Order: sequence, then structure tokens, then C-alpha cells
Amino acid sequence: MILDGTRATRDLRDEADFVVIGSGAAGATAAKVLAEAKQEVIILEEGKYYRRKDFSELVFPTMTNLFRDMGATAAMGKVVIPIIQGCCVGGSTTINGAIIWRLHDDIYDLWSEKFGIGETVNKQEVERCFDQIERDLNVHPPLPEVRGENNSLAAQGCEKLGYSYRYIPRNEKDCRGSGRCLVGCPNRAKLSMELSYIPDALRAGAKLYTSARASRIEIKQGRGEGVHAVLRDHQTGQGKYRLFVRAGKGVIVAASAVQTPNLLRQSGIGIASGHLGEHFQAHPGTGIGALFDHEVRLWEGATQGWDSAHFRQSDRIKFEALGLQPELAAVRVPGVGQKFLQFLADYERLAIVAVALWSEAEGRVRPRGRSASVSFSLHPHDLVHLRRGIQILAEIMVAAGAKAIYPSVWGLPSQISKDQLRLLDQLPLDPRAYGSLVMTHMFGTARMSPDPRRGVVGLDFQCHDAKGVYVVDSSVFPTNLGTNPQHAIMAVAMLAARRLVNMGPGPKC
Amino acid sequence: MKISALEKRWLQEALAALIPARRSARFPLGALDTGALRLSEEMLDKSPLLAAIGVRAAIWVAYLFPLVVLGKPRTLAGLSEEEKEVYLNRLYDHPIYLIRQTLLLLKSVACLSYLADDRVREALGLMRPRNLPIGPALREFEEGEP
Repeated sequence: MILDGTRATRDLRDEADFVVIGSGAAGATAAKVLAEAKQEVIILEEGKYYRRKDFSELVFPTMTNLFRDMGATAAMGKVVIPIIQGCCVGGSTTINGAIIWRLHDDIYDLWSEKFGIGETVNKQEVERCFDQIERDLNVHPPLPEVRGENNSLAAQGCEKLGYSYRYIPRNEKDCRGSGRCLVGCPNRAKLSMELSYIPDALRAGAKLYTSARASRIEIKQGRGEGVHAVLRDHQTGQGKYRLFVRAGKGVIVAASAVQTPNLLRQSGIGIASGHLGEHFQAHPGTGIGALFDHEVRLWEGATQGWDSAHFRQSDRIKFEALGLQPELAAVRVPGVGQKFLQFLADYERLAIVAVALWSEAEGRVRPRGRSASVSFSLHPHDLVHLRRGIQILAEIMVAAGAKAIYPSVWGLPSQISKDQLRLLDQLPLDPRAYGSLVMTHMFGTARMSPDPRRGVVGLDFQCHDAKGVYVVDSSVFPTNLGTNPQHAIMAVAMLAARRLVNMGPGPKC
Repeated sequence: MKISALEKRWLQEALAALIPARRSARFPLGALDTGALRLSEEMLDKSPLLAAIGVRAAIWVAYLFPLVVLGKPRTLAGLSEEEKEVYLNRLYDHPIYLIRQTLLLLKSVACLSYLADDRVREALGLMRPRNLPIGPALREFEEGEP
């Protein structure tokens, strides 16, 4: 059952065994597992439920409808870095590239040895969750007919240079290579959460409130009793009516590493640990353009069908193709005015690839009104890695036949020829030179630790200072991953929900 | 956030110069021909306060900084077409981070409108039949609810 919060005509009350806050990768997965285990589940989602017919191929309506704060949330530090998050049923899975990576062994080891959570995030169990998710979501590399030239060129470049790469396993069925993953798949091919685990949860009896922004978790005698939510009017953005959902067995927080710590803080949870909202980590990145002699047609093929983690361990960087929508890709075209139009004439021959940093920086998240304030500055090592990443990406694309590169870095020419790659040795180690940085994949703001003095959440995913309040999103990850996290987020949420079902979190209150 | 009538005129000047009309045979349209002004106002109206302040600052910088950048005591409207081209590209590559970011922000807004226009997309080749073959195994998709 789906209840549209904008249609409420009065304040509402409801109750369930579990209230799940968020319908993205973590929330949808937890809701599915719990609902299919015969638990009464209510999901609260701040955004709306958009159907295929509601998706636009244009970026502006997509930003308005599907992106949190129109994509204008930003991490503030030495530079301003936009943070891209979905705010709709399905969360960021609706607007991501559907890139699937399992957790790397070095992450299992690090989390076990340094953070003491290996008992919970143990490889054997997590891998079983990965297996399950990959079956459910039809994870597979793109078929040759939908790879598209942008992805294929990057793969060719890697082949020539001897770098490992993948045609990316993605959660999709019958992808038509529309190149529109980032604005919502028009063909319902991407098996994002609103088309997969949310419908599964609903079929199993879960109830979904949309346009319902969780504002506070009700705590009584140290235990999570339920969740207060504001039913949003999307015309005004204001709360019109209130909803309270009583949680008989538990509150599952899966609102993302930006929203989760703020909700906990507003509920008085986790603050005493000193770690709530701290340790914010991410994968900031940027893209470069590569100009070929032949047509690339960036808008055709899998949006993100190629990636390479060849330099993940050595240089803390990861590469991926980035079939941006024309409105976003054009921002990478150099210059303004007539200069811009001259470069734009080459648009069909333009490829775009990106470097994502396995950043060593830590930031902080705090509430700011109904939104969030994120403080984050790149670590000096990140800049060395960013420079290296752009150099290698340029080499890959030149090896694939690019005749010029658009580095989008201040201080360098707008366009450098394939014979001028040495100029990239001078890439500045100053984040202000990189005007097109973007932040995706957030972690760590309510991290898990067996020690209440070192983390917000215990090994049972329960907040140390609030019984019955479980955090199952990437807030609990003690570090970032170095590769795209959707799969890991889902697997950890699945693990948490399975344990809740098996453990039985106690009798109904 | 609403902008004043004066700021709206400044914004109009800036958008017209960022993606000018009739300066390219292939792209005769300018940003204003594609509804960039309306989109900018909608964005200012809907976006979070900090972002709206950023766009507003960008309007001021783009319109009022010829004195700073070119040393000419004029506004953007007082520059010739050639001067506008030089001026805006200098702002775009300005040594001060915040100044060049404001121009990048305005360019992004202009691109949201310009590259969404079917006539521009036609000129870019986006409307041509796709090169990518669709495999016979790909079924037709169902309409409707999940």
C-alpha cells in the first residue's frame, strides 16, 4: 500500500513492527527482508514516488523532482563540492549509474582489524547477501549492443595500456542503452529500488508513506518508540500535517550518511559518543573530456558501462565512463560565449570519463534548518591522487585514439593535444583549480564500533544509547570503500535485517 | 528567492552573452531563445537559499565586473560583442576561485536550458536515429506501474 503524504487532510497515526526511514538502497533492502519475514513494516520516504511516465530526459525537471535540494547541497571547505543525492522513492538508486561492486578484501580486513567490526561484517555472510542481491537484481555486464562508444573507447585504451577494467556489472534487465541512468531510466530497465525491492516489500505487505519526512525519533526510557514525520506539500515544500508511526519492534534508520546523523541528533541519539556526524567520508571526483576524430555520441549506450579499479590500491583512484546528459556534459565544454559554441560543434565526438577518489579526508555533518551542513576539504594526498588520476585517464583516452583532452582544470589550456600530455604534470595541488568536482557516495557519520566511546552504533546495528533504533545505511561504515557502494550498502542492510529477524529484537511493547 | 526587476535585466544580459544568438552558423539560437531566463528564475525560486545566493552573486559579478577585469568603467551592457566575449572568458578563467565559480554556475544554468532545447539538440545531432543496434532479445517494455 502506498500513501501519498501530500494527500493527507489531517494529522495521522499509524503503527507497525518496524518503521524504516528511507527507501533507497539500505531502506528498501531492509524493508523487503523484514516484510518478507512476515513483519509489519512501514516505510517513510521524504520524496515522491515517480513512475516511468514522470521521468524526464531533461535535467532540470529531474533535478527539481528527483534530486535532493535540486542537486544544490554542497560540501563546504576550501572549495564548494556539490553533493548528488536522490530524494524520491528509490533514493539515489533511481539516479545512479547502477554500478555494482562487492566489498574488497582490504575493506573486510581494515574494518575487522582497525575498527573491530569483523564479527558483524564477516565476509562469508556478506558474500551470501551479495549473491542474493545479484540474483534478485539481475546483475550482469552490459550486452555488447548497449555498451556504446564512450564505454568501448575507454576499454580499448585500457587494453592497449595493459590496465585491468570491467564492462560494469549493473542491476538492470533489458537495458536499451538510452544513456539516461542519471535522470531515471525511461525504460524501467534499471532495477533501482523503486522498481525492485520496494515493490517486493509492498507485495509482502509493507506500507509506504511518500512525501513523509522523518523529523524525530521518539525515545521513551531509552528505547525508540516510533517516528514523527512531516507530510510535505511539494508545492510549498512546507509541512502540512504530521504523522506519528509507532514502532513495536524497532526503528530502522536508512536515510543516508548525510541525513541519518542529523535525524539522530534531532532525536537526542548518539550525541554523547562524540562521533555522530563526524568522520564523514566520500568519493569526490571529476571528469575530463576527450575529443575523437569519429563520432562518440555520448548520449548512446550504457551511461556508465566501463570502469577500472586498476589503480585503486596503488593510487586510491578509480575510473569510470560518464555518459552525462547533454545539459551536464556541455558544462565540460570549454569556455563561454562564441568560444563555447565553437567547442560545442564537436560535441558528437566528445567522450567523458571520470576519476573518483578514495579520499583520505574526513568531514562533518550537522543540521542546518531542514537541510544539512557538510564541512569537507580534500586531504593533501587526495590532490596528488587526483592529479595522477587525470594524467592516467588522459593517457587511456589518448591510447584509445583521442586527439585532444579537455582537462577542465584552471591554469591549463582549455584543450591539450595528445602530444601535450606532459602539461598534465603541472596539474596544481590546489583544490580550487578543479572547478567541476562532484561528491557522491557518503559514509561514516554514525559509525559502527563495539565500543560506545568509539562509535554510534553497536555490532547489532543498534544505537549504543537507544534500544530499538537501528542504523543500517552507509553511516555505519567506518570508512569509504574506493569503489561504488550501492551493492555494499544493500548487502550490509540485508545482513542487518536478516539478523533482526533471526535475533528477534524482543516482544512487542 | 525572487530577484528584482533590475537584477532580472542583468541576468538577461549575462545569459545573452554567455550563449549568444546568431554568432554561429550551426547554433543560431542563443540561451535566451531557449527560455534560459525563465528557467533561471524558476531555479532561483526553488533552489535552497545558499545556491540561490550563489546564482544571485553570479549575476552581480557578471554584470558589474568589467571595471575589475577589463579596467573599463562600464557594465556588461556597455561592452561591445567582442568585449563581452573577452570579458566573460576572462571571468571564466579568473585567478580568484569564487569569481570563476560564479561564472561556471551561470554557464551551468544557461546549459540547462540551452541543451534541453530540441532545436539545439537537432543541431548537435542528438535527434538523429541512433547508431546503437538494439538486440533482438530485448523485449518491448510494459507500460504502467511497477
